[in-house]
Amino acid sequence: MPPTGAPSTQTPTASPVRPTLTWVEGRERGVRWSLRRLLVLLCLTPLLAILAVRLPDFLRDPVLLSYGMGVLGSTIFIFYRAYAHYEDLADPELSRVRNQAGAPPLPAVPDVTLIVAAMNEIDVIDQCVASMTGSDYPRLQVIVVDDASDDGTTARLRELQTRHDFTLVTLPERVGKKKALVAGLRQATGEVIAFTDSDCVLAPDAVRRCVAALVAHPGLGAVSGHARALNSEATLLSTIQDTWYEGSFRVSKAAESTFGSVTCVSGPLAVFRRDAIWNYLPAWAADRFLGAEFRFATDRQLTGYVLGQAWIGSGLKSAHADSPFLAIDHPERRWQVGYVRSAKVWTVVPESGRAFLRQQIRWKKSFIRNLCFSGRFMWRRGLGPAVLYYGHALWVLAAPFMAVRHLVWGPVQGLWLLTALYLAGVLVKGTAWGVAYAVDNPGDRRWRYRPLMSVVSSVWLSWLLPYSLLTIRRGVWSRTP
Amino acid sequence: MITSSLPAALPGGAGHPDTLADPPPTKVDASTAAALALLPELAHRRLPARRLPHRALQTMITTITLVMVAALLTAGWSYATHVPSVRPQISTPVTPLTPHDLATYLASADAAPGAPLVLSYHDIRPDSDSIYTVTPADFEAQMQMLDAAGYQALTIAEAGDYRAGTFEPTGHSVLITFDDGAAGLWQYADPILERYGLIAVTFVITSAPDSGSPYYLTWDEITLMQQSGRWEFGSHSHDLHTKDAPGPDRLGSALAHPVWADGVPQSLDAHRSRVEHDLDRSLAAFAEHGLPIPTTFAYPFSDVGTDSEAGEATRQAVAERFSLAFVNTNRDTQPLQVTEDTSQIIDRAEIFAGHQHREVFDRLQRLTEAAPE
Repeated sequence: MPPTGAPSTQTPTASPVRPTLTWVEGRERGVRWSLRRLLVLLCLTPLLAILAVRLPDFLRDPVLLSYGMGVLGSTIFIFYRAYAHYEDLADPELSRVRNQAGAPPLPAVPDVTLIVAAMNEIDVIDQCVASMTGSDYPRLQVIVVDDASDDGTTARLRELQTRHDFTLVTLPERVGKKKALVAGLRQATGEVIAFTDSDCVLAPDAVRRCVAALVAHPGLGAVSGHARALNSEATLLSTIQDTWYEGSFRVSKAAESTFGSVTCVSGPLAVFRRDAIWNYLPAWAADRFLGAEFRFATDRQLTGYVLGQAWIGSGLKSAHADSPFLAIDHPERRWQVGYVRSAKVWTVVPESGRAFLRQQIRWKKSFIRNLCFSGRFMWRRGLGPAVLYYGHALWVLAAPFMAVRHLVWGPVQGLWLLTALYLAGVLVKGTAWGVAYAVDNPGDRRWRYRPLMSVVSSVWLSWLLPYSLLTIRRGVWSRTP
Repeated sequence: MITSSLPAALPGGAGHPDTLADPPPTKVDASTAAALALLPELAHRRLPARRLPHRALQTMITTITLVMVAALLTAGWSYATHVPSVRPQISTPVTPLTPHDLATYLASADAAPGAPLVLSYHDIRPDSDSIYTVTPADFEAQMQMLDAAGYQALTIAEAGDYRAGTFEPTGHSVLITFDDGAAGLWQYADPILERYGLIAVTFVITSAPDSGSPYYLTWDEITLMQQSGRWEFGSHSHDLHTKDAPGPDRLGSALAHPVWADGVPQSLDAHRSRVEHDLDRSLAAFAEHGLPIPTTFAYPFSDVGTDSEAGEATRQAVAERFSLAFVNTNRDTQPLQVTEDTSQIIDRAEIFAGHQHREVFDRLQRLTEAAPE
């Protein structure tokens, strides 16, 4: 059973916040928008005050303070965009997406293919398939690809076929997630292609909401759903990750979505227009990096094809000109890529430290690979997307140096104040994210775990980048880094 | 743009009330209508239409927002750049001297006294790249050396009396001076002078205190220093501590050289009146803050001007107002001499960053021994 977590459940305590927000939401669109802006900036006052007070020192010595000011400034920027500007794309009247792609609108009720690839998922495949076929979208084709599982998943899938209506594609040999999906897509009939992961559970209306967003906004090439942890209560680490995912979607992705440039339409629920990705599927399946096949970076890379096809699309098409996926040519367009907050999906997160580290190393490698791809054209997508993308990249790249400087070099030199200030900054940032979680999830006590994620990220995950860089060639299906 | 056909298509939504209180239904395009059809949850929602009051209200709220953010940023900036009128004093630990050095200093205390030498410092603070800034640790060691070697720090009056021949110091003596009036003198130097019972003179650029710059003393700090009895003050010009005099001698100070405009220097009268006005302004600044009128002067950048009429005018203006004037040419440094020449410009022994206490001691010994009797 997916946890509700939805704001429809009323909180027992009478708080003035909810009725005020409800009143604001009911205003006329322009008034509502200006009120939200005012409220958000009011809430950001503490962070803005810190920025203002540090500004004279920063102007005097930019290099020394650039990291801290950069993190503070971008945090304020992201929060502002996510809370003051973001409208759920599944709301056709309140949200606006410019049709820079010049794309034709989808039919009113398009055919949708929902596809998943599974390899040895005997524990979770039942609930995944059940949630997929339980989607309330009327014209849905469900495809499940079995990538040569050997733990009984194949047999379980055949059994599930008697109870649920889906197409099963069994592959004789293991080919990896990307190639498995592409093999399954050869049977896809939908004008919209939705991907999910084999350990996920979708809300019944999730697919419908994503499709509604694509139907309402012809300029959208792809949208991401909102993922949370299915096993949130399992361990402390899984609860921390759950709070992390909440912010990573509701704040970071929403901010990217306000610029129409979400950089990663995440695997748990990734919904694409067929004409935005079809011609690039062969390139995706055969993706190579540093002279070797690159088996990670599925969702991020695919999103990259949608974001950058206006500039790098033709090369990818011509390299695979004789593939059946190139039979019909879809013109390269300047698609927008967005995020649908109300399309809920729950995914299994690593519960142990070891599994978590392996996953994070995989993600770091995906990030590095994608930086060399999307980094080439992201600046063309506009100032906002460029600031968010390259700013985030710089932050990830700087993280190991900052960690060394403040957690190793500082203490060795006896500069404990330096370490304390760094950790204080990390906690301020984590608390801001924690407050955001609390605002979005009233009555949910887990906001307290969110600051811990900032500590985990700064103290622990920042070290993974050098390791990931050095071992980037080592890539197999999913579970080993 | 087609008018929404939603009301008819709604499941169970037929006959929705269309009273005068409801705004007219918003017009939607085909894509929006199709998406709305996929989302029956939104069927009963009525969004208010946009009318003129809405536009005005939105503008008003936006204006309030902008004002609020601007006020916040300005307040934060002002708070951060505000220089408190009296900053905390910071104690410097006693620098341990080697037994050998200490013995040398103590032994020299018994030697026959020479003429007083004038020492010149600028700022005392840690973490500076400037060669003019001496660290508190080095300064502490130097003052400790002076104390151990029995040096007496003179007042301006005593220095003047020595030159007139009416004052005979009983032991080694020195006149400690500081140029520019930097904030580090209150924060770091004053506690050290107090520790060793020494006194000093500071030459203040009188336009700098309370100008908002954190590098200079504030008038409140100067007042406290004056009241402590450890400090006397001289002038370093009011606003001519700059090298703004364009012209062939570009590196000249604005005090000692006429200002050029359109390739032509100002007239002698204009130059003289400008210099006199600045010096009088500087003296007035002390009076305004309830401080004694200074009788000593330090030339900005040690630039006393050339042999030109303008240079002569500057030196005369200084001599008319001050009984002693100081420079740091580091070429002909001599101790104070008994003399009747009241316009003599006195060269000082300048102490730079990194000078160790032993160096300063040796220099003091060498220069005062070499002085003609």
